[in-house]
Amino acid sequence: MKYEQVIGLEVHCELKTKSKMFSSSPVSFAKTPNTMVNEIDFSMPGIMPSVNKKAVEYALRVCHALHTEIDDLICFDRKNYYYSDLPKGFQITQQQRPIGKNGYLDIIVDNQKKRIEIERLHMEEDTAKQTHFDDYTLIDYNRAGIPLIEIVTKPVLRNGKEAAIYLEKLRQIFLYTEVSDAKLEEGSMRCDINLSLRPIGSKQLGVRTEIKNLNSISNVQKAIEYEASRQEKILLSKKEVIQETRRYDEGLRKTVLMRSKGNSVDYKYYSEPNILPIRLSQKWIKSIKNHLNMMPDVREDLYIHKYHLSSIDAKKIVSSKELSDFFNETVLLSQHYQIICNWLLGDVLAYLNKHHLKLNQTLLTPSYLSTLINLIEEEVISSKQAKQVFEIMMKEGKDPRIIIEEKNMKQISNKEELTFIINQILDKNTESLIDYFHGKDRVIGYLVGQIMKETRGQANPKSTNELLIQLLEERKG
Amino acid sequence: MNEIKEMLLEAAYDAMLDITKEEMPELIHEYHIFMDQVKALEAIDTLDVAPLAFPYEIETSYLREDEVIHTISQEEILSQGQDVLNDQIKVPKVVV
Repeated sequence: MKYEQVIGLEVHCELKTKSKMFSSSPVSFAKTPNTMVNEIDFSMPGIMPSVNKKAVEYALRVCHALHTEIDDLICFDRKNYYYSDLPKGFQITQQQRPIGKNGYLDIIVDNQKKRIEIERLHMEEDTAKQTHFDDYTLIDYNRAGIPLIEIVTKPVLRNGKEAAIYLEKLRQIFLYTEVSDAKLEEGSMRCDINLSLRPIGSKQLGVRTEIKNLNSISNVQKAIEYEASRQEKILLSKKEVIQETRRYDEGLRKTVLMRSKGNSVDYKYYSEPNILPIRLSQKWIKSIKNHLNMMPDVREDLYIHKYHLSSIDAKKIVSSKELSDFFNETVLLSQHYQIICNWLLGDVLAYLNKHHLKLNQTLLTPSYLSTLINLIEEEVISSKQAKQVFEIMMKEGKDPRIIIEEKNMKQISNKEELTFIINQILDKNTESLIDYFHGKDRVIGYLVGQIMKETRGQANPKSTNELLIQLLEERKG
Repeated sequence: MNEIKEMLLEAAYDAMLDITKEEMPELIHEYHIFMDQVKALEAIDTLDVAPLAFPYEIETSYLREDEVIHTISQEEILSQGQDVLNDQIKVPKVVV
């Protein structure tokens, strides 16, 4: 019997607000433990949570980007459980009325578009960070209360590759909406997998397992591949898959049991009595939509159809919001779209990789890059000179025109000026002339070298070549 | 009667309250009144009635601005734990 995989993903994303979801203590990472906390995060008696406006705005941005229906009445619920990562004994979440539901995200798998339906998007608070040792646990409450959004897909994914593509696209959404730095390896984006198998053609869902502790997109794919094969072996040997929570062990490259669902907790959800329902104005919801950054799909389409980039180049540019923003600003200043793209994906990325920098950590501006490209296209400098100008521009943050002036790097393209220089060289190299007259074309290279030496590399190579041959032919005649 | 008394003493112990012999008869009396009221509440048919979380059906539009205003000292935080290690609260491990 052949089985198909039925996969749903739950993604948590930490929002990069200044303060926490329900308190005015700071959101910050890698600080001294237990220094970014106040009474509300620590659940002291008598606390009253207060909802962070920016966190709601960020949740709405992602709702819009994922095309969800939006509930304009914000309601929270208590998820009750007794565990040291949240000392008040419950987590404030949105169980009954998520802020967003019934959305979608389109992905491309093997050149085919697939729509991933989003069941819900809700807001909640993060828990404290626990570090487990052999016989004790240490707790840092700095993370407790950081705003989170959770995005749950319907069980529509069918393999690890689709899951990885979906996660990469969702991560791009977080980055393009500027709500999170979305780093799986640092825990600001986290993913849980629900996976079951069913016979191909069957409509009935099989028994699922949940997989946690996934710190990279490639591990999500590997965990799915391993778990699907584990479940398949169980089913083929006529045994039953047990509903349980597993984790992915990177070292063992397999999923291992965490707990069986038989011990699962009843969270006894009920409405959070300390937060009244909050009605959002339609005007605000609409203005957040209107101010949303252009999403990667739209940019890719624009790059292909308006700026005539190849699909591969367009994809490479949108793979980084920073690069894409830079491209968008540069094309307003220069119409050499493909050349801008080539510079960004070539010299600029190479420079960033070499120096381990991000674009915004350099002194390069769209204005400098467009000026440099325009100077090459207007034949003021050669491509070779441009590389030198680029290096100085990146290091010193100077306008390329100033660098050219300072280094006296202007290209000689003027026909009269070039003719004068070439004739001088020809007069000094009569032997080469004789060689040329006897059909030895390779002397052209030697003569071009002499001209470049004379002009200290400033002669326009294309014009020099053309003019040199013309003058040689004239002398031959 | 003894069962109720035992149960009340146990609940008082859990709540860290000390109940004297003199207080106990009154407490048992109040317990019966309370349980009668619970019975009266249980007699109400609540099938298909949504749970009530707030006494009034009011909405608000208030959202807090995203500003960092208040933290408490690490010393105060750590003083809440019985044991502390490396700036963190140390607890017995409960998840394997």
